[in-house]
Amino acid sequence: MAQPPVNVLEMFKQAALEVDNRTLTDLKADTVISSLGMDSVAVMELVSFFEEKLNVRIPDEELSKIRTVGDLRDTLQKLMPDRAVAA
Amino acid sequence: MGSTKADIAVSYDVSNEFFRLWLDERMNYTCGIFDEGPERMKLGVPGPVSLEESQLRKLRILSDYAHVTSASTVLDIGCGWGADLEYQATTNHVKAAHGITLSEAQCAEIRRRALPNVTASVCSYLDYRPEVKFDAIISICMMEHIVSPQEARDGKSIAAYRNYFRLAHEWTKPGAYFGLQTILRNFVPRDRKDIQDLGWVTYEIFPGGIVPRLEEIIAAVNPYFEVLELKTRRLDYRNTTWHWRDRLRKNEAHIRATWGDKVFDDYERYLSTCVTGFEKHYTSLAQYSLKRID
Repeated sequence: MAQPPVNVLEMFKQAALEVDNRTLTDLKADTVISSLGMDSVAVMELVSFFEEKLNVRIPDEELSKIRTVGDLRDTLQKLMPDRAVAA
Repeated sequence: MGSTKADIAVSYDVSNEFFRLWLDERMNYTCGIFDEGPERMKLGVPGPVSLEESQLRKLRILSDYAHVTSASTVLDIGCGWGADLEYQATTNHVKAAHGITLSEAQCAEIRRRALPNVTASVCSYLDYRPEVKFDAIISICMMEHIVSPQEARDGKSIAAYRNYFRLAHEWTKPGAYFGLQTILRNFVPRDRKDIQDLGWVTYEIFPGGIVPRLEEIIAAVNPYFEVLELKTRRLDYRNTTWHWRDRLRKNEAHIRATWGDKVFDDYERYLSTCVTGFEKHYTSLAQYSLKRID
């Protein structure tokens, strides 16, 4: 049975609330993560949230390339080629 | 540009007397080498090799990696409080040794030691212009100050490290060797507490700098130096930081009374984070013997 599609925008909002107590409303695929006011430690916790929920591991060398929410979506899609990932 | 002079003061200028309480007698603030074999290097209380002996072993290895003899002129980039300069002067009896550091407190300590044939200056490696070229370079855990976390995120690490090796090449004679030691970022933790602790150490204890990755160093040495030898020493640094924390804790009352609760609590957290980081492979250590490409 195919796994349900991943909604990165919704998961991102949930992660921001959980790890940084931050409510994000105007989030888009081209939103630059550093512009959200989260420090790099919180961003790493956020990445960790995605990994745990989706049971994937983003390689360390890919982490520094993720600048936007869309970049995160693309990275996750590469790690889960058989599952739809949208943002 | 990595750590500024103000950043360096945060990391190293708490007080020379404070660091003297928990480092070895020569004040090496870098990984010692215990080399006690796999049984002794298991986690737990380290074996019988003392912190003092481990630091002498480290200096011996890096001197050998840099091919230092009594005829050598040696440059120490990021010389700390002068432990390596003292070793070069009193054990290797080198012709001359010069150290550069960004810390006023460290330079004052080196001058206080009044070592034969040793000079030191407060100077950034970016501004250093030696009048003579050196036979050998030793640099122990200074590269951690070259690149800031933001520069690393912007992909500027290799270019900055390559510039460091370019300068080292400029400052040396043909045929020179370079004994290098660096901490390494192995992999990013996923445990929330460990992420927060490592981030805190990066931003609060060593502001302005970030530890390099091994592949960045390997990419950056070219075209200036050839890697002749490379050895990683993760558990040696685990044991070193274990000893530092042990000595810090034994001086807890004095440290709290003299420098305040925050200093003790911060350094206890920092050293505990280091012990955990080396145990869990978040960080490691590497020693390199580099030969100048002429």
